[in-house]
Amino acid sequence: MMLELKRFAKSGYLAVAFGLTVLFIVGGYGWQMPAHPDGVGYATCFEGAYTVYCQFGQLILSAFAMHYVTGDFAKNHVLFYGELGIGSPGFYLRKVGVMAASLVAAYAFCSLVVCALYGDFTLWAGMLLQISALIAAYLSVFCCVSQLIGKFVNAYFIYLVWWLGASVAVAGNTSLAPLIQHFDQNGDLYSETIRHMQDAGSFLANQGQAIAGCFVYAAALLAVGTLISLCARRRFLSNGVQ
Amino acid sequence: MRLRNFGLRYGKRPVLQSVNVELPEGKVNHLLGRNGAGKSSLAKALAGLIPYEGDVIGEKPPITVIGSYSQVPDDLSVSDVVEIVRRRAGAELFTPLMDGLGITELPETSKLGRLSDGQRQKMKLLFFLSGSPRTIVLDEVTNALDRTTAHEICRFLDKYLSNPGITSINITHEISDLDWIHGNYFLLEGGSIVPVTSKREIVDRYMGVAQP
Repeated sequence: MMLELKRFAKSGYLAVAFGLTVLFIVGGYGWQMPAHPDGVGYATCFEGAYTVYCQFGQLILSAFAMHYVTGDFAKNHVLFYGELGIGSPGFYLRKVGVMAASLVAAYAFCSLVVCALYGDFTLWAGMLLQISALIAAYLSVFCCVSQLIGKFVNAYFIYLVWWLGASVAVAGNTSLAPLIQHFDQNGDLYSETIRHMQDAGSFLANQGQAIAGCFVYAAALLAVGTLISLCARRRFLSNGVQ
Repeated sequence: MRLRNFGLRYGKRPVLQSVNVELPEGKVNHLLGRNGAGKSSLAKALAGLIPYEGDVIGEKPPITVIGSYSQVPDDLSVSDVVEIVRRRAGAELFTPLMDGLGITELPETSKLGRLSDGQRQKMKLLFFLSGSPRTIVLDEVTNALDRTTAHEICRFLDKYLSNPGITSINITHEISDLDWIHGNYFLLEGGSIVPVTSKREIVDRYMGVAQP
């Protein structure tokens, strides 16, 4: 894992992870500005950032994650990993692990700065946990798709088609949201989260069960992704011939 | 290593058919053939990257294969790779590999992506040989290198691969490799692997001068 983290940092992806996090938080703040001309409050700022993660995170983070994963196929690194005893599931877990750790660390730091600016830390822990689960869930899917498809453009296109279809399905039937678009704006989780943010002091107490549910969802996706990568060993190897 | 009824196909198109050949250990087995004969496909199959038919007797795939499709990440530095190699190779193998390939002359902090082709090839050999593989396939490792660097690498491989217990296949287009690395000769033509007794014969048949 340390080798993967070293590669992630040295190739510039760690810097991009921090950059994207800043973009999401600043973007969330900017998203709220037109509706709050007198100034964006503490909870509203977190609401904006959370909305950006939920709605745009799937488009932007997917490109980031898929570029990182498919890069190893394009540059013929599969046999390198094989020599180190890292097969398909190990490759998958390392990719998810390193990207999740980096994005979560980036969010933890950047949101801490936001809290310091507002002089209010009540939402920090709860939102960190919820965003961590969101990141883990997203990356589990992105890495699985890119490891199966192998080529960046193809993988991103297929994911885009899935995302459009799922978003339309959830818009038509919100009961599908917990399964296929867990963090979508149309789902109950999103509206509950926004509602609980207004009572920042009690956010963790009120949202705790939902956050636990998010982690269960993320863990389930990770387990499915690991199982798929275990079954798709041959695909993993053939992706190494590009 | 022995290939028994070994075959490869891409879809319905056969590339190798019912290959039966014994590749002795302790000597490099040079494999020459025209472009498109199936040499790299054979290497990829032995690496476990593509499926094959028949049997591989001896060490089973995946076998250590060093070719254009087996790269060490460019974002790692020379010192990063040396550290990995030190752990994998152990004390006995580490120094001979480092000295034999001239790695100590390379700038430690340089990323592999900033090295020359010849330097990167040496780092690749260093990494893939550090696992002490008993069976090795080299797929055009001196390709696109200047003759001086190619000679350095061949001189190292000639010594390293002649160790008893190592079975190696050297896939090459470079006739000069045959002068610099002593070994047996095989020709891949018509979907089968044919042993050839002399370097002169393989050069003539490979260059299309003599008939089989």
